[in-house]
Amino acid sequence: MTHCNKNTEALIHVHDLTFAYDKKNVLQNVNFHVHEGDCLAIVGPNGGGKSTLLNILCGELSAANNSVTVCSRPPNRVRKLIGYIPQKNYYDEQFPIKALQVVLMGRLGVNKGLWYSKRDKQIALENLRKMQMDRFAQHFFPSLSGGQKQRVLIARALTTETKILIFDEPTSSLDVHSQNLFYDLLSDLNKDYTILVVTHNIHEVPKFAKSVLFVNKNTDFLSFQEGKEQDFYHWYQEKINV
Amino acid sequence: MFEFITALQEFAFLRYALIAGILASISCGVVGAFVVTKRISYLAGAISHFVLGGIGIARYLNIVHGWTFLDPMYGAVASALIAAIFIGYVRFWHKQREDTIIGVMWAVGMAVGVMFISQTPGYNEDLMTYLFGNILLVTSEDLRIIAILDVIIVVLCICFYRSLVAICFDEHFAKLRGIKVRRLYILLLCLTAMTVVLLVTVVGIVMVIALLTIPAGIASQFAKSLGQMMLFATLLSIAFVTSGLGVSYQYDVPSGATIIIIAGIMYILSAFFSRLRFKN
Repeated sequence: MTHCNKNTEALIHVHDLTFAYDKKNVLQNVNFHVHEGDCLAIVGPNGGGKSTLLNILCGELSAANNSVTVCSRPPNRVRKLIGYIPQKNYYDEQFPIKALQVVLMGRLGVNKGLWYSKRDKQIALENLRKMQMDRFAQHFFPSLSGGQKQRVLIARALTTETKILIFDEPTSSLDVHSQNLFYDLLSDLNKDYTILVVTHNIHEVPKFAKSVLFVNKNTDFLSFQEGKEQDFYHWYQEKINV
Repeated sequence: MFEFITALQEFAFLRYALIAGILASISCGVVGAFVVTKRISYLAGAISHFVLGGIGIARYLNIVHGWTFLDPMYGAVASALIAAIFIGYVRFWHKQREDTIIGVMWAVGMAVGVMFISQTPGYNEDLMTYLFGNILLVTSEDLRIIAILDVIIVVLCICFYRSLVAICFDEHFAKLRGIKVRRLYILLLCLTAMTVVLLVTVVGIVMVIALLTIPAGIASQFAKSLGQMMLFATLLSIAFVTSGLGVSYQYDVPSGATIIIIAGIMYILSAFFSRLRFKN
């Protein structure tokens, strides 16, 4: 397993990142760092470059000149350190697959054999247990509720031996009760993992974030201070108006 | 049915037909499950119709130019693989609309096939055989090719099973885990292409999509995993081919059409029972 040097300054280092589609800059001169143990909310308007930034951090798009590094290496070289949790309503509701098999997919690229090994299954079950979903291991994935599916997908991300969890719109289709359960879970996970959450749900940001990144072609960074929610809303409003 | 079993012992062509049907059912069940879950049955349709072009050219060269080594089945395999690779290339590298290119391939393949078949001396019934299939004409050489294709398809599916399941379920996550999604997608299309060739022998070009998707579609209503879906689809496909052959022999009706009608009726019944089960 690849480990970051604990003494290094930042786990994710983005320095002067510019990225263009068809010669049109989507991100320009972006700079920010994410430290180990951080919980970063990524916010901003549609078309502002959040998805592009996410794809670069996940190693799906390549940034020029090592402008983005995770543990001092390009993201596509340390993919297993990055656990991505997509929106749960992204899946085919008729796909015949059990929860355990979904979690086992996290071992792809870690175990390169033809079949999943006993150890892979142990790791997958262990992560389902962490998410309190072990009793659903043999359940049909599409039949699980929204919150249960999300926990299975988090277990899949943990199974990749990850250090960083990236959530894409995690509360977009959860009711208020499930959202609160999710933020409790996020707080637990943040004890062991660095977390990035892309969200449009601005009013929920103060519930979980330690810092906020506003993305709209370039970026602005705000360290979140408890009890200063109003400052955050003013800051966000200013950015949106600009 | 008893008459059919007696005839099986008596006539070699019926035995060949049954063996060809069973062999094709194995690939049909395995690849059909991927095709249905990845929702690419329309691609299989384009590939199957493009195959007529390959068959027409191979048959023309075989008869008119004396290229006796070039069996129309080889033409079918080559054109199916070309179609699969081309569709994959267009999807990933050329950024063309997939549905437009499918429509073009569907029609152009048929047109080329009809053109070459019309220029080849012989009976016009051959065209009907390719379009609607005639499993009763399967030769021992056809059986050999079908068996080889079957082995290639099953071995490739076993070797790439985990990654194929991953790209069918969540292509984006598979890519993030470092899987070569483009290459695997083209491999899946090539597996589909080879299965299409096998099924053309059984039910003909026009009805290939039905046999590729109906058994897998029924299986998907009851299976809890992709492996289970493949097993159910294979068994269902064997049942449809065997019963279709028996009925067509008994009543002297076209075998390909009989197989598809039985499969279609079973699909409607299964959808009805599945709905009842869901309500309960």
